[in-house]
Amino acid sequence: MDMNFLLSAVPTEAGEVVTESFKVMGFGMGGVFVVLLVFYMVVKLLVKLFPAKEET
Amino acid sequence: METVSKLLNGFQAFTWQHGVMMLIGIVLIVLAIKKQYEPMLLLPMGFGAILTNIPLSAAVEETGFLTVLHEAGIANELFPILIFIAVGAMIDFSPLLKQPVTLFFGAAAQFGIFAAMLIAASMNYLIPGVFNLQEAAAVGIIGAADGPTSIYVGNLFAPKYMGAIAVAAYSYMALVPMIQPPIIRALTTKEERKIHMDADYGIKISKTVLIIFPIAVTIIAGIVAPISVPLIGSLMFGNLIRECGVLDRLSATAQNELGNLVTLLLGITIGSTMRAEQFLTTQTLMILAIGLLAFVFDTGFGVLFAKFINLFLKKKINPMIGGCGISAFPMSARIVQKMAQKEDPTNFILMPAIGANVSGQIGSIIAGAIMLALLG
Repeated sequence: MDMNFLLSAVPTEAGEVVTESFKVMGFGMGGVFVVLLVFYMVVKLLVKLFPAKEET
Repeated sequence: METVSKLLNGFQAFTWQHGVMMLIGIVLIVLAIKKQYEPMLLLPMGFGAILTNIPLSAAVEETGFLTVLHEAGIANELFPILIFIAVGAMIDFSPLLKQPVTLFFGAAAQFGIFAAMLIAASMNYLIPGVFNLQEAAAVGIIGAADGPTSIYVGNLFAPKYMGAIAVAAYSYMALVPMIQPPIIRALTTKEERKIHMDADYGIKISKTVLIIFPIAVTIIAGIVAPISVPLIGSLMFGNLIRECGVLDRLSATAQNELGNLVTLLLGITIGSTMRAEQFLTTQTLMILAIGLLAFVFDTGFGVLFAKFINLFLKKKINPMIGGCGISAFPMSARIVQKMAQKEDPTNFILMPAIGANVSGQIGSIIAGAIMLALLG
């Protein structure tokens, strides 16, 4: 996926910049949640695969 | 006469703008010493601001030491990376690993970054062309509440505003004890603030998990946003050094000597970017104001997110934990613990708060990485 579509022409008109900012906000917050959801699943998996009691 | 004239060059070149910037530098130094607001950064920054605003200063000439440091550590983003190795070596991810749901508070509390970006973009309605999209993003990253991330992104997207962004980021991080409590109190009820949470959850985390976690996070984050590899990689490298158990000397060096040395050089070099002609502008005032709003939105959204989650939970979480999802570690966790104990002296929510705080560290880097990937 071409993630640089937002920068194809750096907008300077107020409306354009605000519109693009909304898009970045949507993708940004969505992306952060998705990535941290993946980390959440990885942590759950790791704790299940390598429980602490095995080390005692 | 010519010799005397040479001695007067500095005085002749002195302007009121130089004076104002020197005063700002002195204010930063006073805040660092008297109020102890992030002294490790604000004092070197203040002194760097003084050095760069002395007229005809040789320190910022082409071969001046501040110019050399800037090229060696800021322009190529090396100093923030090295700081992250030190930070990673100081972080204990156990609270996060025991209760990984706190990761989502670390995600929610990054809202301030994008809200601030939007506000900066909206300033174009007031002053057309004041911030382009990348510059608005650089302003927004103040909301990461993380110095190295702010410097890394700010330097790439808006190097001319680097001084203002760094001053805002570090100043507001130091002011978190003043910024967060009123917002958290306004968004929570007394009963909510009294909610107890388990300190330990009865879960132990194995050494294997502590070692695999930084490696896994680096690989996943790096594949999602390759531009984030320097940031997330250095943080997790520092953490791996700490957790592996066989590199105690390197871990101690990373936490102490490396962290202190780079902080010293970073501070004074960032201060040297605070030149009068770049700092005394309308944009600087806007950056300082928007930066504060970023922290407000971070805290507010984090708390509201926690309250939203509580709608679906039988065993409620203390919504103040949501406010800890910012990257101001461990200050935010300590503030929330204090607020909880003020309502109920038997309430110990420090461990879950630290879990959220540590999640914020990861969340802020991911947010910065996504911003770099989208706009870089």
